[in-house]
Amino acid sequence: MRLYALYATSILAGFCMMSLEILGARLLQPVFGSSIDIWAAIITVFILSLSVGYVIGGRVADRARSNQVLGWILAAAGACYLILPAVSLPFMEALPSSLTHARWGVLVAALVLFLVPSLLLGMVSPILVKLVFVSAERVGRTTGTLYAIGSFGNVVGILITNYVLLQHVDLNHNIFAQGIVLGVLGLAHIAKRIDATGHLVEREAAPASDVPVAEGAGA
Amino acid sequence: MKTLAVALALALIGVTGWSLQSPPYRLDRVGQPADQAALAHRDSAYASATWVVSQSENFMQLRFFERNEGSPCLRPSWDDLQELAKTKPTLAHLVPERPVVPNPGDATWPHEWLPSPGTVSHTKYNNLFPIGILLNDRLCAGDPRQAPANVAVIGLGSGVGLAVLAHHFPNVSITVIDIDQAVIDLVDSHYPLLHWLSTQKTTDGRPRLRFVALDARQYIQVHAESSEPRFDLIVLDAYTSGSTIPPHLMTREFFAECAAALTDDGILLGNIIGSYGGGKTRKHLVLGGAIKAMIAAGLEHVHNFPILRMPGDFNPTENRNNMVVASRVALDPKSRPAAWQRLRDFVLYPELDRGNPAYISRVVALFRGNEDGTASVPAEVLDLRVPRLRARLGKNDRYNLGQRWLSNDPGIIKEVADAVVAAYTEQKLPVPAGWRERSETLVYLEYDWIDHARSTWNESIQCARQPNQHDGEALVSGPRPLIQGDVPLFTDARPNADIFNSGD
Repeated sequence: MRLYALYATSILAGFCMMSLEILGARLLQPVFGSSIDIWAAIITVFILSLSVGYVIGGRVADRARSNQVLGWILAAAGACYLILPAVSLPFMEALPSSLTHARWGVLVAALVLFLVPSLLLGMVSPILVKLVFVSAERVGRTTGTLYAIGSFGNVVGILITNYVLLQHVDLNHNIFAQGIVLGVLGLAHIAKRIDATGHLVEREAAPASDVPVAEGAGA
Repeated sequence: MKTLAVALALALIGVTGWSLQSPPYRLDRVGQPADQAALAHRDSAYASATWVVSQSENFMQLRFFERNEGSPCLRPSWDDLQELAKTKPTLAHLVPERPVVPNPGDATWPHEWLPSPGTVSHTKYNNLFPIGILLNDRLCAGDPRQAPANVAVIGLGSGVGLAVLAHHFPNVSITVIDIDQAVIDLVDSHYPLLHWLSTQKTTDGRPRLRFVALDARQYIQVHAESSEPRFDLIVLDAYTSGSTIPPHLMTREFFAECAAALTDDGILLGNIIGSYGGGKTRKHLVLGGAIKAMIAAGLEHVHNFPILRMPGDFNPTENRNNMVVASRVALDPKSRPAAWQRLRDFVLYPELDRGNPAYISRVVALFRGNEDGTASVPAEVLDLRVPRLRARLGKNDRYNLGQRWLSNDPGIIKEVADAVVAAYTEQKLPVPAGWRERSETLVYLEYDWIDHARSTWNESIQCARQPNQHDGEALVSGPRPLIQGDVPLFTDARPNADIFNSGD
């Protein structure tokens, strides 16, 4: 049961993250147009933020004993989504025209707008790896499955956002809805505790190694 | 209760974000600094555009991808006009104070100096720009030539339409709006006459020509709210990829904005490619939809001046340029006899002579079936090698408002083809395509560009004058509209999203 909850979290977080890439391009459009420069900027910024998120998430995951911190992270990501529509256009309009007219200006804008949400969503992966960890023999399988499910969420996010959501729902409403989804997901994790059993396994093993192997040694 | 606290915080952030959200980018919000930055990043279809010169060096075109913009004729050149102005004072307004140094030739042009086109158009529809001024009684109260008009032209293209207006009306102030800075730069750098006009002012201090790189919708909206004088004429000639008018410039709301930017008797003149229906395409819906939108926007009086490709009977199913005129005041021949008399009396390029060999292009071409343009060379190539060729060809008829002589005699065709191949190989130049293959018909084409312009004018006025054939009521809004079918009303909510001129 807890495994499915974690898989579901992986799918939803992946969905929202990739969806933000597509929606982000639309968000940047009023100031930066729709040329190929935006896509270079979005892909760069997202991959960069994800990788930083992986590093930080790994550190956080090692210290995590339950899904509480995951809940905080998801809630924070949701909050970022919720304020993005209010912040994006005023921020971009306040940029100096030397920046907005330069080809690389969109990199700066994308970085400021999307660094935090994608970093937070990047932190989700290592923490989920920690949470699904059952034993060292099966770590490959569980992690592989988790990545696969997360990527599936990414793909579904891109396709559904592009072909369905954007055709029928306002841009801002899309972002709000996903912010609410992430927020509710975060609240669910804060409310319902899932322990990191992998951590417990290690702690059980540790005392055993302190017991001196006396009987067999002298025989 | 941590969960509750977090939930509350999220709710607070959500409500704040929701109430402060920026509305999605909409066309009717203008004047924001954001708009210009978006234009700066638009990938221009003209990024790789280039000027090309016709085979016979008689006109040049702006080519992008496989399409061409309209074309100014190279003869009479601006120098020709300045020379003529010495004996014809009505051309004085085209003479610069100091002679303009020609631009040096570049890789596209085999001669030392770049061409400097005059004001004659190789494309037909540009010749009808003056109707937007002549149909205005207030502007033409005195001498129509001196009409002090403020004109907005939407869509620059090659710029020859502006040259036509500037030639015939010394006192107009033209503001040309094109979304693409690349096009403006190409025209400004390669059409010296227009570049010079942009530095000049009329006698009452208005700029003769202004280039504006902006989305026309935004410009018209901002202009309507500004304190600048209203326009007497707005020419809509904006075409984008797919040879289509951008949808946001073809809606009821846009035409209403144009109406607000026009004087009370101002005229909206649109070049709308389309047919009257009956064929296999849906292009009549574009024309019908545009007219409907103009009427719904408050420019209730609409009249169409079809541009005929060949003289003769008007064919309603043919897809063509239509110069659609819309205004708040009546436009039809019955209500405005004086205005239509002005149209009939107007002579294009009165200072220039028909029959002047300098302004005549002669081209020899091979046709296969009924296709033209399969292989052509300037007739000058053959003048010495095959003397009196034209006299030896049989049939003579009018073709696309020029003159044409034909022959199907294989002997003559072979003689001419051999002469062409010999001429080019002797000069060590590549033989133009198509001259080594067999062909059925040899064609000798002669275009007198002055005659071409005047014929276009006369044929179109003649056609448009027919009662109850080309006015808005007959076409769209009357009880038995000539443009049949489900003619949509284009609005901002439901613009023309899917009817393109190419491929449909």
